Amino acid sequence: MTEPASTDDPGVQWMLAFQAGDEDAFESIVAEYESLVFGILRRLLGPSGWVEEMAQETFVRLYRARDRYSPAGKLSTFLYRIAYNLALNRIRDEKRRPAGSLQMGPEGEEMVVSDTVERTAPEADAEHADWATLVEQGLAELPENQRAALVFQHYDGLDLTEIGEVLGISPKAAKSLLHRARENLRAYLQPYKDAEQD
Amino acid sequence: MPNKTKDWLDDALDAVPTQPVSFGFRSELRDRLVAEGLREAPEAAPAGRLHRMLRPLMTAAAAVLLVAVGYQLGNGGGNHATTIIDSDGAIADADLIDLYEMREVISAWELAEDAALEPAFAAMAQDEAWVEDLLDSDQE
Repeated sequence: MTEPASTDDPGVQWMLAFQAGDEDAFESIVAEYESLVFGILRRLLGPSGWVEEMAQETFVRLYRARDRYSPAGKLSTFLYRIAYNLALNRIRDEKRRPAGSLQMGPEGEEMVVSDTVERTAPEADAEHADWATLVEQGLAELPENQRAALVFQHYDGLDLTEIGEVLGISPKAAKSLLHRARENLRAYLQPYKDAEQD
Repeated sequence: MPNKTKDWLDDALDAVPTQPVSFGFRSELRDRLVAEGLREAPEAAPAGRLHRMLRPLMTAAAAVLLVAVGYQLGNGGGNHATTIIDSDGAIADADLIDLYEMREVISAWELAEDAALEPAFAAMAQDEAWVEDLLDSDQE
């Protein structure tokens, strides 16, 4: 299932140069992929204060992986995998904490976090429905692997093979995951859509 | 990739914003790599760090410059304090007249009229006959 190395992928070339001791190549990787990493984490974690922290951690992990990196597929797929695993751990840490408890934010600040998404009645709220917020709430309700599959497919244009690579599943399983993610999100948002059309 | 047609769900997904890369992200990443011993600290301070170190000094220098310029501008109209005592200690009549005229301007201020606030001016107002006598004698 592992893709052959894309020798024409600039990310792979930079990573190989970095392995050979070229520190500037790492700077090039950060410059090229930082927006992508921020984007993935924002969609996986939602509007939390952890995006920057996790983005930094993603590149630190990449730096640490210098010696054992072997070019298989695109570098972006490698970064997706790191970012996804970090986001997954972060989400699971949040879920382990009791709802409404005080938690420490990335800067050590205290934050009240609730695990339950506040839902407003679609009929009452439809006129002022902020679709960005609704979709983010809907994404947060999805199981993590469904959310990730949908994010990777919709926002980053990954194909089923690449989604499977990142999530560690077959392309067929990725397709099934993606289908369920779309149906679940559609079911979550449908009342708002209906209310908007009334 | 599934062969799907774009529907309202895709439009809804498009509404979710991305997050721009935060300002200073790269320099903070470099600092962390150095702090964790993954990367060696640069031998010479890079321009960004040098600038950060010098910024307080530059700010202080700018503040001193501003105060100095402000002081000079405050004195731009020259020294308004007129020397009214001659080298032999006598007060020139012309200076006394100037002083009297200035006193008239000052007494026109509402503050100067308020005896409770400015008892010194109030006292002058009650005892100004000597100045008028002097003016009269000068005209004679």
